[in-house]
Amino acid sequence: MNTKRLWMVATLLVAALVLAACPAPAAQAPAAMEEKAPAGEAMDEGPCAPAADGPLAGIDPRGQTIVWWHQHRGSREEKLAVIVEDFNANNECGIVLDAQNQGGYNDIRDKVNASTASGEQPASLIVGYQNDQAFYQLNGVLADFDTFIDDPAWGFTAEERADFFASFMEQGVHPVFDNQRLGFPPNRSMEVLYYNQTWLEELGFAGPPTTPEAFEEMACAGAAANGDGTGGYILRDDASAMASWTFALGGNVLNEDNTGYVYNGQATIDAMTLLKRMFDNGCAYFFTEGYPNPEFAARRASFTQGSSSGLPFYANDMVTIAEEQGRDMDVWGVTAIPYTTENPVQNIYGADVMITAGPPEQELAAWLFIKWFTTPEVQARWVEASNYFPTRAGTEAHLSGYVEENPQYGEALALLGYGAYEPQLISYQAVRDAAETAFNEIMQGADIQATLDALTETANELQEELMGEVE
Amino acid sequence: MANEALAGRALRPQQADPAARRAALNQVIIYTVLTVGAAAAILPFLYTVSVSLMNLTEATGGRALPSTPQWSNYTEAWRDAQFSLYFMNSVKITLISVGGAVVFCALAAYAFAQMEFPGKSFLFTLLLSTLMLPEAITWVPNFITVSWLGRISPIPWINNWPSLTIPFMASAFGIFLLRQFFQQIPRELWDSAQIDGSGHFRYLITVVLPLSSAAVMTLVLFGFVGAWNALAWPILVTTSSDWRPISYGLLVFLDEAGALLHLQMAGAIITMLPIVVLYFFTQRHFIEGIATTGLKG
Repeated sequence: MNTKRLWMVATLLVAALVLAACPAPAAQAPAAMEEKAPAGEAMDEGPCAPAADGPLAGIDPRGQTIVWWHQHRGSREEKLAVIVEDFNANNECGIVLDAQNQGGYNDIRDKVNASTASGEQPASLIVGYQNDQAFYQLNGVLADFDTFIDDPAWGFTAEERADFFASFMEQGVHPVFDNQRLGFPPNRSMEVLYYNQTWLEELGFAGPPTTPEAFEEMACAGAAANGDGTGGYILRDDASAMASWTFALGGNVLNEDNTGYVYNGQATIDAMTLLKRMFDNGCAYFFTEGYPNPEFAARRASFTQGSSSGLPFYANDMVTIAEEQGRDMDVWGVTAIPYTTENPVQNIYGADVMITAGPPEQELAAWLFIKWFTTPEVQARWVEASNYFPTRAGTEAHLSGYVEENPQYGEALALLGYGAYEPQLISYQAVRDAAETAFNEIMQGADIQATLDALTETANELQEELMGEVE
Repeated sequence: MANEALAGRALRPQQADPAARRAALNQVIIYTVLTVGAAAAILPFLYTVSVSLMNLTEATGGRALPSTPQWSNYTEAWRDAQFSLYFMNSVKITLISVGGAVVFCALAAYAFAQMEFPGKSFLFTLLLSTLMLPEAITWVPNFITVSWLGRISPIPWINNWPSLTIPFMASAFGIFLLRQFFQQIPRELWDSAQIDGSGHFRYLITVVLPLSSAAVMTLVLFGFVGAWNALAWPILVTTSSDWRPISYGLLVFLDEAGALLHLQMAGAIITMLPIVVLYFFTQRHFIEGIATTGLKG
């Protein structure tokens, strides 16, 4: 390397530093974004003035800027931005919400943990699952929602409170942490079975299956029609899928007092036996090249299983692929996971929003946004933007037009009353990985009973280990 | 005819030579293994290119080639992923990271290679031991460090270029790579430089670095690839798109329940192009650098 080249490298470095210095960063770290409420006597009255009494007396949310770390991307993020813009322009308190995509759930978890470790408050509002809440609260990261919900000035009226589906609300309550309500449900999704009605009719079936036996028969007929290893049901090795099958066959993955795991119950064994048999007979197969919706849309699978939040992607792929293949679009729909119980038992899940512990003014401002975001009118807008399910009954009155336009959403919505829930134990994140591994081992030929026994033991050991830290 | 007969006679003893036959067989085996290895390396790349030119049906249908190349996938991917913004961010992050890495690694490597000081071996061993740590282990300590530095520095570090670049300027791998190369420079050159009145810094700039262009280019390439492909750390230390890199743009093609595989692949090709171009220009130095620093197996 001669001197000229060295100078060139040095010049490049200087140029890069200058280039970097040019645009001033628009956003700052959350902690730096805290704004003081404008001081002044004139602001002590009006619709957003501090309450005179109650637990939140004297706390002034006006003029606060709050940051929300969420996981929504693409068109969902764009539509959320419109809703947030509406809040920022019209809320009487002058609160400014800065909604920021921070990657996926895992990225947000990493950010929260890193912020906590560095002694900084994460964003005022964060997104995460129920087991995340328990983990965060080991360090006292979160605020208790009941403080706000029950407040006479800022909380819900009895009527508003009763409008929320009780089971969704209870998911965020943590007995381990003195029954604090650490999460609040802005929306929910459900594990559903996607089916191709047109194809089923061509195969001689009237409609989707309700029992495991009918499901197996239809999937095998689809597989026989294609004859190339596809055509049947695409296996889903996720822990949520394993829990869904267990629920549908009358079991649970939690013990009776909800303190430990039972992955070796009869329902789970029956579910794994069914899926393994279908896999061995070529009636079910793994699709590992991404999400299964295009495979379903291209008639390479008669059934797939997944979150109801995938509905818009299925709808889009059904149209696109039918156009690309020059044929009419198949009629398709969603139904309950085939069940042996009297009624369907559907796995309903979804992340909560959480308020992080910080200045009381910020906590209150964050709550006021959540309260607004879950009003029936706004929730209906969010449902239409995201295809998630609402978490309060009053929202449905605002969705009639949307359900008519999106019949598959209506089918799934009708199943909302048959909910069951996955564990919210502190160890569930790690247990999910173990369950996925066990599922794959079974499909590769491992003994079902022994594998599920081992999974149960591992899961309970993980739980005991983490609970030891809590205590 | 006479010549052919002579040649035939001359070849016959060689063909019968078992050593020559073994050598030829070895060559065949080596070339076969290399060909399989090359194919294994190039096939995923060709698959990516092929899928990037397909429509959605073809992309998920297991086809090898697109029926009609969909060149519009590239413009669509560029637009959807906001690559205009993220591309420039990545250029800035990479230039600063790589420039800084060359400066700091060269200084540290020179000290380890050419200077004597107490605890040198211990410090070098300590430095090498950090190579054994998985990257994810360093995230939280590094985050704590950059957060603290941001609090005491006049410019913010979080969501700004310092947190994205400075932690990667003194890389243990870069120091090791340059130190291996610097050690091969004859001691006599340093003696001569001293006679000419040169100090360590001038000797490093005028003699050592010019002789080490292969190693420096290797460091540049490794640093470029690392900075260009980074994703987890940038997400951790940024809160908005202002400083997010090009790899973040690719995330837009993934969602909770849907992925646009053909656009994802087109986006992947766009993001890897700068690396391919850089390698094309630096491959001679890169191969020399790898071969002469003891990094090859």
